[in-house]
This record gives sequence, structure tokens and C-alpha cells, in this order.
Amino acid sequence: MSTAAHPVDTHKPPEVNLTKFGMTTFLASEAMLFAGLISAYLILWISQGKNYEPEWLKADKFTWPVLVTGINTCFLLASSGTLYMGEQAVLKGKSITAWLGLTTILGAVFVTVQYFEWRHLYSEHIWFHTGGTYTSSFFTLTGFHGLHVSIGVVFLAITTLMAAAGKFTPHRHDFLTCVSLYWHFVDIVWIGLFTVMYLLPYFIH
Amino acid sequence: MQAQATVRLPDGAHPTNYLNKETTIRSWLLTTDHKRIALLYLFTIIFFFIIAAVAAALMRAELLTPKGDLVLSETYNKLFTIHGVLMVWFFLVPSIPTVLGNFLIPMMIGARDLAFPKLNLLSWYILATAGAIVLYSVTAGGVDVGWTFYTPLSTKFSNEHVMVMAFGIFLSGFSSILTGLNFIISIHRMRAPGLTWMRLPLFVWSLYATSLIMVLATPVLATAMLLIVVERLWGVGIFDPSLGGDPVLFQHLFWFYSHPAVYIMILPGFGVVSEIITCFSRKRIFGYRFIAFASMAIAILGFMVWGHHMFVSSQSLYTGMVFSFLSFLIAIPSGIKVFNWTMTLYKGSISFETPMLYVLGFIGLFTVGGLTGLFVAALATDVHLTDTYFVVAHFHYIMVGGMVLAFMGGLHFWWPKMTGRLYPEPMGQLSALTTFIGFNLTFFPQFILGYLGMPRRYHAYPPEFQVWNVLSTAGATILAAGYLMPMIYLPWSLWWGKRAGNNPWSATGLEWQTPSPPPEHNFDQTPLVTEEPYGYPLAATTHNRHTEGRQREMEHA
Amino acid sequence: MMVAMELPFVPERASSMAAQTDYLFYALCALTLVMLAVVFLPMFFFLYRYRKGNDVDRTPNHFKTWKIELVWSVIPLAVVMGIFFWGAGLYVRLKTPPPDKDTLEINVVGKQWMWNLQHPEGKRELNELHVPLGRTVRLLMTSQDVIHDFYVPAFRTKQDVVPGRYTEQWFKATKTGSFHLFCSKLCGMGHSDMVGWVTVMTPSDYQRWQNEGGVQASLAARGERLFRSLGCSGCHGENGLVRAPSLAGLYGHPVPLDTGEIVTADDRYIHDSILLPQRQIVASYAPVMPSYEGQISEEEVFQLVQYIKSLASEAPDEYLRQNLDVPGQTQKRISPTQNVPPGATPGPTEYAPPGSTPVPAPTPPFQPQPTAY
Repeated sequence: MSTAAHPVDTHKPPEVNLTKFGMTTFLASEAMLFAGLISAYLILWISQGKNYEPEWLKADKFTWPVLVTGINTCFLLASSGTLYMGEQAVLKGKSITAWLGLTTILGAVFVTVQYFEWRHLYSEHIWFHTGGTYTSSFFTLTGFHGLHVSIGVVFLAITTLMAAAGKFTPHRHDFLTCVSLYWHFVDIVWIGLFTVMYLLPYFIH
Repeated sequence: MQAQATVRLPDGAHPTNYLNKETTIRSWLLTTDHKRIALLYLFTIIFFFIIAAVAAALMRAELLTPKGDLVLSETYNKLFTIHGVLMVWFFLVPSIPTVLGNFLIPMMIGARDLAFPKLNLLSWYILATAGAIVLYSVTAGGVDVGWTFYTPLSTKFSNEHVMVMAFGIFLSGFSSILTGLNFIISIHRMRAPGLTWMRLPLFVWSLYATSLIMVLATPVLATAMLLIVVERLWGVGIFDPSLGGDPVLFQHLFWFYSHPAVYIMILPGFGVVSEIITCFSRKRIFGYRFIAFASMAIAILGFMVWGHHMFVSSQSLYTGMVFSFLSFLIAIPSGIKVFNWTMTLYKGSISFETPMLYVLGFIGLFTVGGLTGLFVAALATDVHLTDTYFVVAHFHYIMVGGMVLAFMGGLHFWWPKMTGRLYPEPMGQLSALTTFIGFNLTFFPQFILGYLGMPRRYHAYPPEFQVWNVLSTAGATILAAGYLMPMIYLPWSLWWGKRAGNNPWSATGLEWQTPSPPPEHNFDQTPLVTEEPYGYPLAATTHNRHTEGRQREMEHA
Repeated sequence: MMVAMELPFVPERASSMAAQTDYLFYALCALTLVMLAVVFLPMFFFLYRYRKGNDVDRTPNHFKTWKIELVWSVIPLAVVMGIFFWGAGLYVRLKTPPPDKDTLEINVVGKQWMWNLQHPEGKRELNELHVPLGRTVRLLMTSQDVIHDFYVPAFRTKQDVVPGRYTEQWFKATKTGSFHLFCSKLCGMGHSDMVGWVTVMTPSDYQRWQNEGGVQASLAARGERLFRSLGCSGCHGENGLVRAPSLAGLYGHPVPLDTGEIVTADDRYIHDSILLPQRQIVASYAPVMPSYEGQISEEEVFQLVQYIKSLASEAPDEYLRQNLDVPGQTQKRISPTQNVPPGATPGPTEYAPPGSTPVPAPTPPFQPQPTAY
């Protein structure tokens, strides 16, 4: 390989957003984490069959699992929408504090509702180890996802404060890009989880 | 030549390099220089290697006699658990990527540093913390479930230190993920002008493939380890059959990571071999594209063969067949590499310095390890051989014969670049030879033991197996001598070794165009790459009438 | 050579499959030697001829690289595919016991750290297994605690013994003598103590050994004793107080579950019904059975399974009689409270998929009632 003395940066590839690329790769890794958990859950479901009937489906057939969580899912989806609006606004140089604030609130609502769902199940004596394998997987998976959402809400709050302080410009908003990638990812994972953990068992039983 | 001129100058007059720019402990612990972080990793993994090697030595000593008379059976189980856990997650997985990869990737791609220098330092702290946690679990009482952590042994029938160790391994996974992420992004985005994908050194290609596996497979290990902790903490039924769980599920999750992890351990070795074999035969690599794509093929196929660890685990007949079939397929890209290396020697000008000796040893032992892989990929023989010493011998041929020899070869090859000093060549050659002989004497008898039916992880065994065990232990002492030598002469060379000069091997590659040791910023000017790697000028380095004559003729014509 | 004669490289061959496995092994050894020669003879030649300073022709050749690459990809591929089919074919035979009439079925329970073996005639052994020469032996295995592995090198067979499920393996011994039995899956502290012997005896010796120590109660008889002492008969017997499925003639027959699935009552089903009764509930029955998890050992479960099996062979008609219950009869029993509303009698259409009735109805006026098991 030969090199020539050359002034710096003449043939460099176009300046790219390293942070965004890094975040995407990290999320690929996160996706494998959830893929591992979800496939473990599905394998158990297939091998166990009957044992997988969710306890809470028996106890409380419609209200919590489908109605409340269904509405809750809408909050999360809406939060992705508002965040997207925020991203568009920042490119145009408009103020995005309101959009980010709204996203944070929607995320917080999601976590709160999920907290009440867990509390409700706990009051029905359904907890990590009290039911069958389904219940264990349910708490492990939604808990793991809930942890991700909570972290996301904290970061969204920080982003909102940064936006209020005017830290983002149309050309410099790496932090916002990363947080929003993460948030959209958490949202997509939830759609998958809601399908396999709530809707599928509900429609099958 | 400038570097050699500085030999006689007092220390203060050296051109500043990454080693002497700052010398406080603080400057080392807070460094974001990829070269310094590589050295931090080097010390860390050598530390873990020594502990794991001592555990191995104790096991070999125990196996001298058929009766379990040196250590208790529980202690023996703890010894092979420490050996496996430390060797796999704290030596083999990080070895070449974090030491040589960290040091060389930015230099090979003509960059100042990796894409995320702070993340790089964080990865080291994570690995060190994880290692400390694992060592804590060892000193607090030890874990005796083996490095595979099979459930329900690890969840219901063992002490609570399992949780601590599992958490340590879970944590070490993040170090892997972040390192892999850093490499992928650096290789994608930080290449020097003109350095296209097809001009990358094969070492970079192999680490790119390795990083992909690190990023995509490690989270599944994290899942498995996390579920063990969850099951132990709350008594949930994920793996425990009496609670409705499935113990074999753990094996699926575990091997989904741990088989690709085998390729995390061996692929970087392939990269080192390609660099060294071209340098010491003064030739372009044969079949560059095929070697590069073989690495990627191995990385991808590696994700699809995990079930071959479970042919006797009660998985279905057809599952077994699919996994066996895919496992045979992976032999092809591995074979392609070996054939291409052999062809690279053809019409080269071959010299036998220490790195080359290590690499030739690598090719031999890896080939034996790969071919014995066919024995355990074939379903019927695997039924007899799995969980016996045959498997132990097979994967040690790959892991030690392959990875450790490649690591040693690479360490010797780039030692002058890292330290600015040459190691003593005759000592190096002697250590390579001793390691090779000691290794074969240690592990070849284990193939025979395995076919004779001696199961793994036995603390005591029937007396008819003794003769092979004695041979193996004898070999282990020679192997230990082979390991000890570099541990003495390499540090020695730091003070008393000859000055290396910028390019003691007359090697190509961007890293050799920097001073030894390199300055903190690697390159004064961003290099411009204009041709493919390994452009060794054969005629210029050999006194060869034929070649020179022919070339002159060709030039005239 | 003398050394090679004294040191064995291949363990004893004592089963019908041992030689087959060895042939594949020899073929693989030969393949390894050939491949090593293909790689290393040229390599050593190159290393010698093209060593630095040796005065030889080094003019670069212009190979068609891809042609060479194709050769050394395709030929090895063909060879390993051959090995794959050989190995897979043999594996199928290793995993499929021959359909011999006189197959000896032995129940194996692995527990930390011993092997518990039960012969159908009632002999029970610890860490030692006696089997007759030339007869197919089928091992039905499970574990009390962790995963073990039943490995007899001389037979070249091995199979994990997994808690919570039944695994099996078979062999046909071809040589008398004692052979090592190992546990080859790490099972804790006493892993290397979990060893024993398999003794292969001539059929007459085996018969003599069976008769030593007087007549033993058969496994099924032990199972029957357990069935009474554990109180199973209180519900599952003739005059049970609680409505529970009768077990006569159950083994090997289809059972409708309250999910609408139909499963076959095999060993695993009976095992799980005793230890994890909530997992599969027979249609129209209340899930009232207590779990016996932790109360009985896996050996005892085997005995109960044998007893229930023996009911099937003693009273094949019982199953049909139970299935022809008229709907009114079931109402006298305690109604399930959760799954079926009181008073409602599940019709067959609700629980059995259309077109699949569990047993053929011999007489037209009565519909089969798929609820009894």
C-alpha cells in the first residue's frame, strides 16, 4: 500500500453522522436482545400449549389486557408521531419544546398506566412466580420493555429541557436524533410485544 | 531511520509518542487513545489468562491419577468453571479484537482513533468490572456449574454465587457489544481517502465480521444470563420443569450466542494469519476476495448452527439433521482460507521469524481442529463423541491451537510497533516451537481418550484411561513452558530489546508507516491509499536472478 | 507397533451399532489424513523450495483464481455432503429402535448422583444394569433433578436424561461382559461418581439372575400399591367421591382436553398429569387434582405409569364402556365450576373437532362422550 504526502481531508468521504450510525448499530443489538426474549417466549408457548393460558385473561377477560393496554398502546404510538413532528420542526428551525414536552408526557402516561396494570395484577395475586410460564414471561418481557420506556422518558425529558434552552439547531441536533431513534425503536418493539403477549393469546383463547 | 538515530539520545530527547507523552497513572486510566486502551486490555486479559491457566494446570495435575486425590470433586468442578469462564469471556473473546484490533484498526484504516474513543475506554472499564465481579464470585465460594451454565443445575441445584457470576458475564457482554459497535462504525466511516473496501487489509475484514457477531449475538447471551438471574431471584418457571419451564430452552439461548462466539474467537485469528503470512513470504495474498468473503460467510453461517451442540439433548431427529447439514457447510469457507494461505506461499520468499512460526503452527493446528469438527458434525459419531474428551481436544485445537497461536504470532509481529523494541528472535522461535510441541502432546491424547469414551469434566476416571492422561499432563508442562517464555522475554525487551525502527519487517500496511512507537495522533498527515494491500515487491527483497531477469525482459518488451 | 497393540484406540464393541459407528469414524480418520496430506505436502514443499535466499524461479503465474477456488470449494463440499448423509442415515437407525416383539423395556431414573434402573418384572438396580445378549433393550429415561446423560461407550450410544420429559435410547448387546456406564452431562459435585456397569449376560444367565432372590412384585403391581396408598383410587377408582376420569384402558388412547385439543395418553401425558395436573385438563372435568410434585419420586411415577398401562391391557373394553356413558350419568357427579356452567353438558361438537371422534361408536343410538379421560 503506498501513501502519498497529501493535505488532510481532500478525498474524505462525505462527513457523516457517526452518532446516528452508532445508535442504529446499538439498536440492532437491542433488537437481538428482544428477539431472544420473544423467541424464548414463543418456544415455551408452542411446547407448553395449554399451560400458557394467561391467568389474567381468565380473571379479567377484557378490561385490562385488551381495552386498557390497547388504549395505552395508542398513547405510545401517538408519542412517536409527536416526536416525528418535533424532528421535522427542528429541521425547519422552529421551536420544538412543545412537541418534545408532549412526547414526554405521552411516554410518562404509558409507563404510569403500565404501572397500574402491574398493580392491578398484583392485587389479583398474579405476579412473577405465581402463575405458569406465561405469567413469568409476561412480567419479564413487559418489565424489560417498561424499563426501556422509562429510560426513554428520562432522556426525552432531558431533550425537552435542552430544546427549551435552545440547544438544537437545524444542523446540530445529534442528541435529539439519537433519543428519537431509541424512542421509535422502543415503540416498534412494543407493537411486537402487544401482538404476541396480548392480542394473540386473547384471540386464541 | 530517524527512530534509530535517537537510540543514543537521553530519554527526554525522544520524539514524543503515545507511551511517553504523559506517564502518570491518571493519564493511563483516563486515556482515550486507542493504543493505550489496547495496552490496558493486554494487561487485563493476560491477568485473567494466568488465573485460568493456573486452574488448568491444577486440573491436569489432578488427572495424573485415576483417583480424585489432589482436590475435592467440588473444587475440581469449580476449577473447570473458572477456567472456562475466564478463558472464554475474559481472554479469548477480547484477546485479538481488543488488544490488536484496538491498536491496529485505526492505524490500518489511516485514522486518528476509533469513532468513539470514550466509548472505547468505557468498554475496558466494563470488562474490568465484569472480571472483578466474576473473580469475586470465585473467591466468595466458587461456582461449579461449568462455563455452559446448563439449567436446572445452575438455577436450582447450585449455590447463589452462580447469580453473581452470571451477572458478571452479562456485564462483560456489553463490553463486547460496544467494542464491536465501535469497530463497525470506524471501519465504515473512518477509512482514509482511497481506502476502498477491497483495499482493506484482511485483518480489518476479519474484525469487521467479528464485530457483526459481537453486536448481534451477544445480546442473546445477555438474555440467557438475565433469565437465569430472574429465575433464581423470583423462582419463576422459565427453565425449571417442575414449574412448567423448559430446561432445553436455555441450551438454545446459550448456544445461539456461544456458537457464534466460537467465530468471535477464531475469525480475528484468520486476519492475523493473512497479515503475517504475506509479510514473511513477501507475496500478495492469494484469493483476497475469497478470504474476505469467507470471513463474512463464516460469520453468517455461524448463526445457524447452534443446534449441533444438542444432538443428544432430546431435540427432534429432523432438527438434528438440519443443524448437522449447516455445520458441514461451514467447513467450506474455513477450507477456502487454508487453501488460499497455502497457495500464498507458492513462489514466495519465505523466512521463518517467530510470527511466521506461530502462524504456520496455527494453520496446522486449525486444520486438525477443523477436520475433527467433521467428526462431531456427523450425527452418528457425535452421539458417541459429544461430552467426551474428543470434544475437549477438538475445541482446544481451534481455541488454543488456533486463537492463542494467532494471538502470540500477532503480538510478536506488532510488538516492535507497540513498544518500539524488538523481542529476542531466537527466544521467540524457541517459544513458538515449544508451544507447538507442548500443545500437541497435551491435546492429541485427548482425541484418543475421547473415542475411548472418557467423559468430560470427570474428576476421577477408570484406570485404563490413565496412560493417555499422563501423556496429556506431561504435554501441559511443556505447553506451560512455551507460554512462560514470552511472559519473561517480552517485558525484558521493553528495556533491553533492540530499537525496532519504523518497519522492522519491511511490511506493507499503513500502520508500518508511522514511527515506532507511534505518536498519539498516529499520522502527521492523512495517508492516501492508491492500491490493494500486500503489494510486496518480491524482486527487490530477494536476490533472485530469474525474477529480476524476467522482469527486465518484460520491461523491455 | 507393540505399543499400539497394548494401547487400545477404539473401545470395545458390544452392540449391534458399534461397528457401524466405528466404520464412519475410520472413514473420517482417513479423510482427515488425506486432507492433511493435501494441505501440508504442498505447504512443506513450498516452505522448503521457496525459502528465502533459495535460487529458484519466482515468476508470478497468472492463475484464474476463481477456477482454483471453485475446485477447492466444490470437491470438499461433495465429500462432506457424503459424510453428512452417512452420518444422518446412521443417526436415524441409532434413534429408531427396531420393532422387535421381545423388546425389553427398562425404566431409568437419573438423580444426583446415581442411576436407578427398574426392570418390568420388578428387579430394581442401582448403578448396575443387567441385560440379556441379543435382545433389543429400550431405555425410557427421565431425571429427578438436573440433566444427566446415559452413556455406554461400548454401545456407542448416548442420550441426555432430562427432567420433566421422557427420553429414550436403545441397544442390542452383541457381547457378554461388563461395560462402563457413565453420566456424561455435568450434573454437579458427584458427576464423576455417577458411573456404573452394564453387564451383558446370555439369555439363560439373565433368566437365572432375574429369578435370584425370589419372585419380585412387578412394576405394575408396585404401581397398584402406590395407587391405593397415595389415595389416587379415592377419586379415580370405581366409587370415587370426586368426579375424576377413570383410568381403565386409558393408556394409548386419545384424550380430549378442555382446550379442544386431543392428545394421546402416552407415558409423558400420564407423567405430567400426576406432577403438573393443571397443565392439561380433560374436557368437562374440574381442575381439582392436586399436584404430586415433590411428593413422589420419578421411579414411583414410572411404577404408576406401568400400572396404568397394565389397566389398558387387562381391560381394553373398559375404555369403550366408559365412553358410552349416557349424558345423564355425568350430572350425578360434581359439576365443574369454572370451565363449564353448572348443568350444562358439553356435547361432543363443542370439544372435539368435527370429524374426529376419539373412539368409534359401535352402536348408533349413543353418541361417544369424549369427556371421560
